[in-house]
Amino acid sequence: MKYVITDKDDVVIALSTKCNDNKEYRNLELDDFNIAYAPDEEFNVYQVEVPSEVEPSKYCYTEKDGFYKNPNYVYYYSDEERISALEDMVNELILGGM
Amino acid sequence: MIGEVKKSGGGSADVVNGIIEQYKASTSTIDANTFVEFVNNTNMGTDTTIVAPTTDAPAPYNNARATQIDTNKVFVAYDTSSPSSGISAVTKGVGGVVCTINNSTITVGEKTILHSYSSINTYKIFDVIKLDTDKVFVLYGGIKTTSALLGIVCTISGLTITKGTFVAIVTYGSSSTNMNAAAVALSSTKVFVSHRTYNSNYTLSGTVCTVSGTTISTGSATSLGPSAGSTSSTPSSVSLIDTNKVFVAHRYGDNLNGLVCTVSGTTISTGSDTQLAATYYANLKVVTLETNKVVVLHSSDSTNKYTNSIICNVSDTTITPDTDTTIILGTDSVSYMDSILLEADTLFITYKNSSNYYLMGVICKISSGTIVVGTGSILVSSTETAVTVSVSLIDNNKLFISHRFGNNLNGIVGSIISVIQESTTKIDGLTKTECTTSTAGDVWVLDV
Repeated sequence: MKYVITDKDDVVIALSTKCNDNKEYRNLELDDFNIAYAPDEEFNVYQVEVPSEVEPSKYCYTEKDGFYKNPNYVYYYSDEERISALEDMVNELILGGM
Repeated sequence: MIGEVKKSGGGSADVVNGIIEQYKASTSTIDANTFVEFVNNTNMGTDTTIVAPTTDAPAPYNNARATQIDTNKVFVAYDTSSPSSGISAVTKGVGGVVCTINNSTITVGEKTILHSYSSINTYKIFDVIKLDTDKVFVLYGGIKTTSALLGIVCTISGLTITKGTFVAIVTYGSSSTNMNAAAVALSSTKVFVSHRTYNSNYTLSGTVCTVSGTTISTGSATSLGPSAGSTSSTPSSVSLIDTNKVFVAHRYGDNLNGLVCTVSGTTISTGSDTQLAATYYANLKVVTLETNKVVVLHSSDSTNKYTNSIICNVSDTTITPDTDTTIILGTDSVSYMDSILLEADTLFITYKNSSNYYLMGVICKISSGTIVVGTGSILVSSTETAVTVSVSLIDNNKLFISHRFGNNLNGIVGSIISVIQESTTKIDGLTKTECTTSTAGDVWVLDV
């Protein structure tokens, strides 16, 4: 069982074995970090079994639907990954031409 | 009495026709052969490696930022992110190191990993803010698995860093490349942060963070300015212009806009968003010149990459911008720029020349709304690809600049000599008295 913290759009933003709501500072204290929340900010905290493939941002969770893929998730490509992909394409073009 | 001061020995026959009545000493002893070159110029110390690449920090130069925390002491936040897949380095976020400066010599303290959270493996440092002489606030973004704007407060004792628990200030529900943020301290316990609005790529918000010990709390995020349409990122720069009042410059579509926020508690009130420039490209920096007056620096286009400047006066929350003016820094095209105020009318700008990647420095004088740009000086002949440079004023006219050199994160200290006052009287037979770093006031002795 893990704590599943979701935002107002039901996107999983953190998974943690602990979750302490420090109301004095409005901090959700998790395993590795805290989430600071504003007075009007909405978070949902659940304690459920979490399948191994679930990662923050990539999945959403509701009690009704369980875990499902976040339809708005955008994979982030780092600059290095982009450059590497472009280099591969260029090499292919050059070698293909030969 | 009439005479002249001139450089003895080799070099050009520069002549200073007058009496230098007062100047501020450089960081090292000045001899006659080099004194004239110090006047209205910079004197740089030795470029020093602060962080060399390691498994924990393969590219420490990325997005590194520094802030002065005490006289001759700086805190540097550096990147410890892993590069793309295929590299086995453990991903760790950001690191910190304290450096002390003695004359122009940099002493580096123990490096400390500030953020260790293996599920997020790409970070970007946005800002490092001094809260107190023993405390800093580091603002950075976690992009990849969990997209969040993060903050961490560290306390410093000597060269030792004690980190607090890092905090997600804003969580974005989907992975985002378009995270930009900037911060400024309102007090030792309060920070104003401008940042991308929750799950919106194109609008800007502001959040006030309060700091208690090393714990960060947040107020409500407040939308700043209108939607920027199809702009894919929201870079911004913020500067304190009065008590609890900040100037925020930000991208708005292809334009550059500015707005003024006032803060009460953690509540933000916003003035009208005002266009400052019709074109904006990159390298945004706001510097407060005096209360309710700023200069906004930016690169206006992707071709020339010249730096533009706009002086803005603020009345209440109303901005009156002067004309967006190109500061032509020689023929340099500028990428990655930082700037600080030396004195009320003197601006120092450091940047990477985007043609040859040299680290450059230039002094600008501001008078009656006009910026006069001095001659650019090569500070370091580094030829590495340009990345973030960061400059801090660490003592009276003494600067610390962090920059990339090779694959290292380097720091360099420089002093700026300015001629305070000249007269037109010439003096014969002037004998120079050698100056030391503690020399102040008049140092020239008339030999008659």
